[in-house]
Amino acid sequence: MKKTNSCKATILKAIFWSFLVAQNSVSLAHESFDENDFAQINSVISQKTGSLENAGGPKKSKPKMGQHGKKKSSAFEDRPFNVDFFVGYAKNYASGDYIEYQKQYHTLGYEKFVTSGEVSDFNSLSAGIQLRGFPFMDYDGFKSKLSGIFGLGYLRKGFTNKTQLQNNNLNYTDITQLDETIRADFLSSFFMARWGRTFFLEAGFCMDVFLQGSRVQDIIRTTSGESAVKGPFSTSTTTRFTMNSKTISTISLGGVAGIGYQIHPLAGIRVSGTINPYFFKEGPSFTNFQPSIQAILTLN
Amino acid sequence: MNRNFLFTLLVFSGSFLILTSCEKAGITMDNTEIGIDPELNPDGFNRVLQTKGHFYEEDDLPAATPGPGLVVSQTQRSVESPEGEDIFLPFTIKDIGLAKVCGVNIKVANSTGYWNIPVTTNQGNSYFIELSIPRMVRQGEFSFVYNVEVCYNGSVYVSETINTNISYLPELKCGDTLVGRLGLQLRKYNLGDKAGKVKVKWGTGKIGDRLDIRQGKNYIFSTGTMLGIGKYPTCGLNGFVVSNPNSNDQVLKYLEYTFDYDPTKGTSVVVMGYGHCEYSDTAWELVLQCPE
Repeated sequence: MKKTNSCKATILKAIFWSFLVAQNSVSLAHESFDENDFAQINSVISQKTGSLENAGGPKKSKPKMGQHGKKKSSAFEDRPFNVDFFVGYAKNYASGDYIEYQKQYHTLGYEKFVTSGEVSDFNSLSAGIQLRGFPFMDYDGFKSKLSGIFGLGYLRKGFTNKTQLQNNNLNYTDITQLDETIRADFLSSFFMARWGRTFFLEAGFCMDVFLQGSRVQDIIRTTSGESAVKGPFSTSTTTRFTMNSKTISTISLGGVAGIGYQIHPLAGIRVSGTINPYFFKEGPSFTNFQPSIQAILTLN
Repeated sequence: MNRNFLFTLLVFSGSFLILTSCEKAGITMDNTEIGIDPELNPDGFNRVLQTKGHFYEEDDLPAATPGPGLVVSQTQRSVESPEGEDIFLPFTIKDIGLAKVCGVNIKVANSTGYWNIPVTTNQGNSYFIELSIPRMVRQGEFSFVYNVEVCYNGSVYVSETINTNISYLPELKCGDTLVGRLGLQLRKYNLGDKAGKVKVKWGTGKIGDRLDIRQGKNYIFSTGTMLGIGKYPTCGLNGFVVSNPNSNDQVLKYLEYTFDYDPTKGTSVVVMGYGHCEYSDTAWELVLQCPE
């Protein structure tokens, strides 16, 4: 617990200082702009929102890289990168030997017991920020539609396994239920290449950094029927286990790909999927495939 | 979208992700094994024990209220049991006259709640508690604590609490050597799909031990009188034999027995070794060879 408090205190201090720095830099930036600057910026925004052709980056016909920094308005228009915020819905599909073992478990009835169960996938939030750069903005043709993306996002992986055991050797009903939920949160950093402006394709690789994880076991035992010894009963217990980097791979590499459509110069949608076969540090294989649908908002 | 908003968003996103990465107090999952760990999740394990009985949520077993002559003896300090097999815990009660054993209160050590279950008479004043551990429980080491209820004239007397350590172990394969000491040991051998003659080689040394083997519910080998279905070896029985009757022997002598193995009756057999009931330095060995 001491370690945890110390960790949080350090982080809170870091957040506080980050805020101070962020606020100062913003106020300085504001001070250096005058009314003319804002008028020029508004003019540029009008141009950008007027045509979907500009979606995903500046036009080729805009001033060249060498002109950057001459005027603040030009710098805004010709910014060689965009910052996007994305948020959406993701579904996690777990597969591999580890999941197969769980499924086999549901068939391990013996003598007087019958077992059954199911492994289920789950839904979660998908969100993050990405930086899009346009290294070939001065070129024509295929290259001109290429951009590079670096992003950070939140990912949740895991599954739920429900196992039910029924004792058929009794003259009353006796059911034991074990519900096990594994969840692990990751900070996913990804590097992708995007081709296209209005419609676009993306592909690349991701590196997931493990943040925290848990395994929760819910056990419910219920008897029913007139013959139950000293009457029916129901009892339950929940035990939570922490999963740390001893069990989960701290850093794992995977792939990411997607397609999208830029509805507006500042907004788009994307369907993408990440796949990562490295979940546990040791033990049976366990792959997470996570398709998601996301809304993308350009922040600059 | 101004820069102020961007900074705020970045800082909050980063803060959320970093804060959630702090280590939280709790039980740590050390491996990827599935199921209930009997050592790390005793509450869960206690609730999945398969037995005919009633579960009470109280933390402790009922307090001891020993009546005159209520002495529980010949209990087991330790039992080895194979995964997926019933566990039986024998005990004896002497001289309770017209009173009768009316139940046992039992729980996994360090867990909440306990079971009140009926007991089965083995023979005479020898009883046993029978439990099944479902396969959703992993192999491991744990303890059961229990006490015995005796009913007489409308009153219930409760014995002192008894503790038995259990080693819940994987099955062996034919050719493996099993070594036993004082107390009860149950281990499962997987003999495979091939039918044939199986040779049992066993040695008990200079102190008598009893060895039994059953396939399913039927006994197929015993160093004593073959037991019937639903019966278990106890201390009072015959069959506690020595393989080295000559006290000058320095090397363990092996005796042999052969039985017909039919895999259609089950591909595994259970060896039940009962180390001598009194001499703690007893030891025995057994090898089950593969069917030929």
